[in-house]
Amino acid sequence: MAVTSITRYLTPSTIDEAVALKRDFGSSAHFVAGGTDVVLHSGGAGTLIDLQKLGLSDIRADGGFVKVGAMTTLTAVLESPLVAPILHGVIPDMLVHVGSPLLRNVATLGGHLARGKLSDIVPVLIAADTRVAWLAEGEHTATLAEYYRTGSYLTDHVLHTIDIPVWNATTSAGFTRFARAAFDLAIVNVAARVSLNEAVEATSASVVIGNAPGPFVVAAAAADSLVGRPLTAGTVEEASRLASAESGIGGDGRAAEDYRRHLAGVLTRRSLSKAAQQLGVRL
Amino acid sequence: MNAAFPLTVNGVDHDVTARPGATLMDVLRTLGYVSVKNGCDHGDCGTCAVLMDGNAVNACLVFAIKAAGSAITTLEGLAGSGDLHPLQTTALESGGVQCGFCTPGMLMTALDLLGSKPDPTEDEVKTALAGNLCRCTGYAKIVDGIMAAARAMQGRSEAGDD
Repeated sequence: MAVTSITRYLTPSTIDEAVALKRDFGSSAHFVAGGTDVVLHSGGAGTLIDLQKLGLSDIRADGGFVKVGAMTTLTAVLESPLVAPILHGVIPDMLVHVGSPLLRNVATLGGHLARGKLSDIVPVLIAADTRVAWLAEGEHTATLAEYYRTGSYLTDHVLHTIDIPVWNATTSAGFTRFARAAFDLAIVNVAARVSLNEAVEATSASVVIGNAPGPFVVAAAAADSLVGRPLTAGTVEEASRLASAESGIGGDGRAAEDYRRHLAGVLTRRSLSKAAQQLGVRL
Repeated sequence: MNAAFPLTVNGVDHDVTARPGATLMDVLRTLGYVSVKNGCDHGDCGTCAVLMDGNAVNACLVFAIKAAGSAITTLEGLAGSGDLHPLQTTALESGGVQCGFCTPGMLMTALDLLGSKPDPTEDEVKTALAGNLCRCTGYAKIVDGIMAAARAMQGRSEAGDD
């Protein structure tokens, strides 16, 4: 179905040109990456500014990060040999269940993140301490969590680079999602990352609950409860209990609050268990 | 306010005039490539799957103007002068076609898969078809047909014939 509100489709060649066009055409102009979400939810846009000519579709290793261009398709991220080893493969494990191969061939990582909607990708990247960089009246950079928390994702900007840290072998992460049907958005999901020292004690951790029903909740109490203690079935159980008690979890049309809280606890346990298993720890 | 842009479909160049917000599915069907089906208009069913530079995409989710400069392939472009493509022959022979509505999308997705994985496992075929729904067949014979096409395209006639 054509998006009938659109009267102008522009394809600038540079990122500065894209930002200038947005300034010129104002609030009725929207940026387009892959466009798969804009086709369905154009918000009455009159002008579309397509970012496909900006050369933002590469993936490279640089200084302890894998730098992913914002226009990189989800398929390219899924199949990237640079992304695959990060945190024992948590990103391709998650991505293979996002949408379908057809969707992933068009949807881009930057477009997905800039929309700020329900996501499996957001919690995993936040748990991995991912940083993002964007152009808006100057260059900006922040953690992905800050990009959302400060509302930067809602401003007029072009997200251009996603920087995923390359964690070493003593850190791993697990991701678990719960949905009714495989193709549905998750009712809730949990990404959990943990680093261990030689005494199998957690030195750092992150637990991020997604689709809760907001895009993400950082379960800080759950993560903090693990740090400085041996990673055991007991400490994982306690972290799961704390995750399910997080204040940001709520109910909506897809799940009542108590069901979502219950699921958040179960998925926290499963995600931490995956990370532990990948680190060779038997809980 | 229409936009004018070129579109190359199955090797044929078209000069398209369409709304700027038209989808590739709308434009292809208007051009007469009606193998591209509108099953859901939301990217859920895969009946609109076409190849864009060799990659299977939901044509209903791609702005047509974005496809200018890309090579689009639809089912109409599959058969060479009169001869069916192995994917078409095995689809018919395997019993994987009932109402036929999902078939074009299934075969275009399969064509993408076989382009990068000429000898896929059954699991790889099923994973590749994750975005293509069928309400008739229960999928088993569709998968059989694609596996048979892969063998035929590699010059093997029977499963296990190496």
